[in-house]
Amino acid sequence: MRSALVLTIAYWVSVAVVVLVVFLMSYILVLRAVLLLRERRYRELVALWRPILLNSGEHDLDRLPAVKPADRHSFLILWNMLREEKDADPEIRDWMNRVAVAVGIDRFARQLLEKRGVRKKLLAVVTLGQLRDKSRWDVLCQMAVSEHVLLSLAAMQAIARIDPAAATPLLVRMVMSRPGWPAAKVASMLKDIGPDLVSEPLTAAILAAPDEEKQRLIPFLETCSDATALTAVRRILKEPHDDKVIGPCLSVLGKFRDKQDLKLVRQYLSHPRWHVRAHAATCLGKTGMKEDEEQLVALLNDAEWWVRYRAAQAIVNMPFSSVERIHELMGALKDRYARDILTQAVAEKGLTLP
Amino acid sequence: MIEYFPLVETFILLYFIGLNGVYLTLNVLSISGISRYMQSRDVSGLPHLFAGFAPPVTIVVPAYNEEANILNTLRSLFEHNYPEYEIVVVNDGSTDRTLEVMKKEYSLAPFPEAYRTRLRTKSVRAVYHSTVDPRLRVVDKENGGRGDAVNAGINIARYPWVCRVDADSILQRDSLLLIVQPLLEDPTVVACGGTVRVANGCKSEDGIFVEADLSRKPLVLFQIVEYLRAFLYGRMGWSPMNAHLIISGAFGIYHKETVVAAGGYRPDTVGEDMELIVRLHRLLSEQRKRYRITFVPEPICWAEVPDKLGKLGKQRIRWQIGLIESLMMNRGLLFHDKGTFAGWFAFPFTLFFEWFGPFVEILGYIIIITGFMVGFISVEAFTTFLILAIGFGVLLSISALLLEEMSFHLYKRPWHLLVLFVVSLVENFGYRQLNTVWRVVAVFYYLRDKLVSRLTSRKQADRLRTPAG
Repeated sequence: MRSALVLTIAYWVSVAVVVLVVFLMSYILVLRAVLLLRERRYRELVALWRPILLNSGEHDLDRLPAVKPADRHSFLILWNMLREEKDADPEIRDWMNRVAVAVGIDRFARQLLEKRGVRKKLLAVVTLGQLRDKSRWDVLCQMAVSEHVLLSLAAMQAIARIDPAAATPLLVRMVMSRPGWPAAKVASMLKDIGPDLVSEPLTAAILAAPDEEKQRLIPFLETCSDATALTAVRRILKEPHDDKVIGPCLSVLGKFRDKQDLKLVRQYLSHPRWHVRAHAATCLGKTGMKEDEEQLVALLNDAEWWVRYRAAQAIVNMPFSSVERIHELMGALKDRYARDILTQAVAEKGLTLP
Repeated sequence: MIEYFPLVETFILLYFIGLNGVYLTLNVLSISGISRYMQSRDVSGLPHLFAGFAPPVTIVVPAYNEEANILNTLRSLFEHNYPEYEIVVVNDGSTDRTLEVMKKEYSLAPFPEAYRTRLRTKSVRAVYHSTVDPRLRVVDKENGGRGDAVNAGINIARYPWVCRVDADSILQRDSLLLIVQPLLEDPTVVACGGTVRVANGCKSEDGIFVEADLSRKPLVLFQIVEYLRAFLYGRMGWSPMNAHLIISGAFGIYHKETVVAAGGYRPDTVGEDMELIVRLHRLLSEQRKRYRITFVPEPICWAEVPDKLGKLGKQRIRWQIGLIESLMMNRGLLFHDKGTFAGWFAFPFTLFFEWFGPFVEILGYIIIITGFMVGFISVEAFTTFLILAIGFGVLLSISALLLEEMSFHLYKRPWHLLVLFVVSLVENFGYRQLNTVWRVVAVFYYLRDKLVSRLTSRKQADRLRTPAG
């Protein structure tokens, strides 16, 4: 009885599996047919529109071919690809924006913004950003604070493009509250907006942030103006902070290379944490003077490999360093590890010692 | 004996339901994962998104007797459109002319590297750098196996991310750019694997992948469908749960400090790539760290697969031994109290279905066939179970083809699809069973080696205990 039941179930399951297999195979074939059709249409679209979009002088806006409703999505992708590719060319940029409005792609993008699919929304957000279209500002601001990382980043980038000044306070607020945002992307957006708008609100926010957040945020000071960033870093270093905050601060000092900070940097060469000593050595390599060489040579004997390595790189890369001087230093080194690391740094730089 | 038959039959049936149930669940998860990935692909493909912020990467290429491949591999690596990277080839005591061909082609000169032993390896004989392209350095060391060679590469790496590439892997120009995307999107990522596809039959120029095509050899075709299954729903399915247990040695990127802190690759296992990932899961969950081990579904690495039965058998036995060793060496991950999906789902699944599974499958075949022959199982029951078993096998392969069609559809020609349909069906008659046999053989090899090493160490211990003279 039990066996008969198992057999009946197994029979019907196997029938269902066979039906499912046949269905999936047919579905794959349909997908392939649709794909081939879509690819052919896309090729035709590219052949027609690419020359139009890239040759601003040769076409009349009033005589552009119409974009068929079925091709609007593909057109939007092509338009965005070319818009990115030619971002550095203001003439083509302007022409492409005018073409988009003339063929009604801006309207289509605004419609897509209201759709449910993330893919459609993303495409709309990027397009509206490129078009500097302010009409959906509030919707974009809402998207910028959404939980979806890619959507929030794309929306933030779009509003930063549309109105950098108005976007800055929101961007700074988001940078503070979204540790999950990729640092590289955040830095790129801050750079795009520029130091004039970003410096003050960002610096103020970083100074007010707790230590555990400061470590993540201080590197963004490199996107600020030198005066603002250096003032902030000096202020942070003046107060007692977690050691992990010092390294990023020294990196910022190294980037802006102000001799005024030399005294501050030197005091970190003997810091108990090796990360700090390594950062200080790198920073000194960029800003240091002749008299700092002795301290860097002393660091070649450090117990930590990275400190020795950074010190050796600093010695070799200092603006006044010469092959003769390095040779002289090498001869004076008694420690084998110090000699080895300096030899490596010399070889990396491609120098030949006499 | 006969009274146990229904019990064994029920166990095999439950095993069958469990295995296929998990695979179908992974399949559903993969469909949603692939759809999500494809949704963001249009936009994240635009150049601006992460332009200029890709982290510098050290590519480590372990090479043992790769005289025939190494120059092609290097040529392809130098072709990458990636902003900042260096290449470290580790010549792992090759007995052929691997080092010599590199010396000649790239004018290698001895480099005074202050070699830093962060991970213990066999002794390093020399470090060379290229006088033609400063991005290339070569470590020449005594033979210690692939894991040992990669460890030497990690010791010398200058950048915070290490990308391991096998010397016979074929990459695309944008492979590196694609594999770093997850690191840019999520700062908790410590390792990321690339999707590997079968290179046999594909077109490549100077080591760079050009176009996918199908090999004419049935053995290779079987493996194409197998790779589609393994990567498109095997790994894609586990990935959202942060629970996949392997990053292929052919192409993967790792956060250097995390790997060093975990002790690097173990040189005493044949599955060092899987072992490292299982260990990272174990250690990082023990330390309660927020981490992600992820992978890129985009096909970015193409590997030559064995086209001879003997070679394939050896490879599969090695893989299975590697799997068993990885699980045994990290058994602490199983149902770990600081539990993660890796410890509570992926590990037990792998243990039960991938390690013990082949025995159950073999037992199933024996019981069904014997039962049919001696009359315990009717013709109807035998046929039904056969159709069911094969049907599920085909269903899983076809759904992998569906995922491929929904996403990357690399096999462009219509006949490619038809061939893959046929292969999905035919592989169930012999090929899959052969794999099961190899996996069972691997378990015996593993147990034999374990026994021998235990006896040897006991003898050595006895000898040490015996007073001299």
